[in-house]
Amino acid sequence: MQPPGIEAGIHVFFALLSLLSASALLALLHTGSTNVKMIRALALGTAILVWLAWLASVYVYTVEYPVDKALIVKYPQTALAHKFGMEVKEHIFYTGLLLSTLLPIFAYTDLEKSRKLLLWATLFVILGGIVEEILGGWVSISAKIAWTLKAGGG
Amino acid sequence: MRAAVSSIIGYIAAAMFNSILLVIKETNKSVFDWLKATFGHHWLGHGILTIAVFVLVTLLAWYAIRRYEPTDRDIGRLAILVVVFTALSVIIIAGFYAIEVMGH
Repeated sequence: MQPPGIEAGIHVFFALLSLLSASALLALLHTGSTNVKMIRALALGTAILVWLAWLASVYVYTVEYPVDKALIVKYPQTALAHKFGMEVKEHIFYTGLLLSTLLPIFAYTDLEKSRKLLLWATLFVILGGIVEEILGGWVSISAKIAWTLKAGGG
Repeated sequence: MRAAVSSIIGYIAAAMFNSILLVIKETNKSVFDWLKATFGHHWLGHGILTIAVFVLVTLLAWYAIRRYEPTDRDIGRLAILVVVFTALSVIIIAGFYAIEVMGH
């Protein structure tokens, strides 16, 4: 069992792409764009990318992360990163996953009517994504610190 | 708008289920162990069940609101509901772990 490597990178890659896609969608909606084709493509793309981010994280979180987790929780300097950071991250993600699923549903129904719904849902997908990135970064740095402490550093 | 409205109802139910299941599994070892034994990992089971709630409630709502056509005012209210329940879900989850951490 290895600590997370390229697999974690793939998860983050999909997450980052979903944030870019959602940001572009928000910009179109906020500026009152009538490019329905592009709005629908970005809404669908965002949802697919968030789902891919989840699928890519399953192996990382359930198989690889426990190696890092064991060390992170061992040291008081890093324990909070898992006990609060990762625990919150892994569970609020499911709310975000379903919120992103709403985007193409809104976009492919009556867009004129559901524009406000789409805008607010997109905004919260972005905010949630930023929170996920912050928490993920915290856990990642904490893992490095924990390994350094194990190696006798600090 | 039928799909949009029914999926919002499904989303609200799933967001609340996600938060409540978290509190239950973290305070009830038998639920945590059941998720782990059934799905291989508690977090995976948590996700699968949350998605199942979303699909199920959305389908039920789809059949229940056959003749409902929301007004612009209704859509504004639905947008508020999405925001409120998203925030509530996050507050319950983050709040639970904040209390857990402060308690130790």
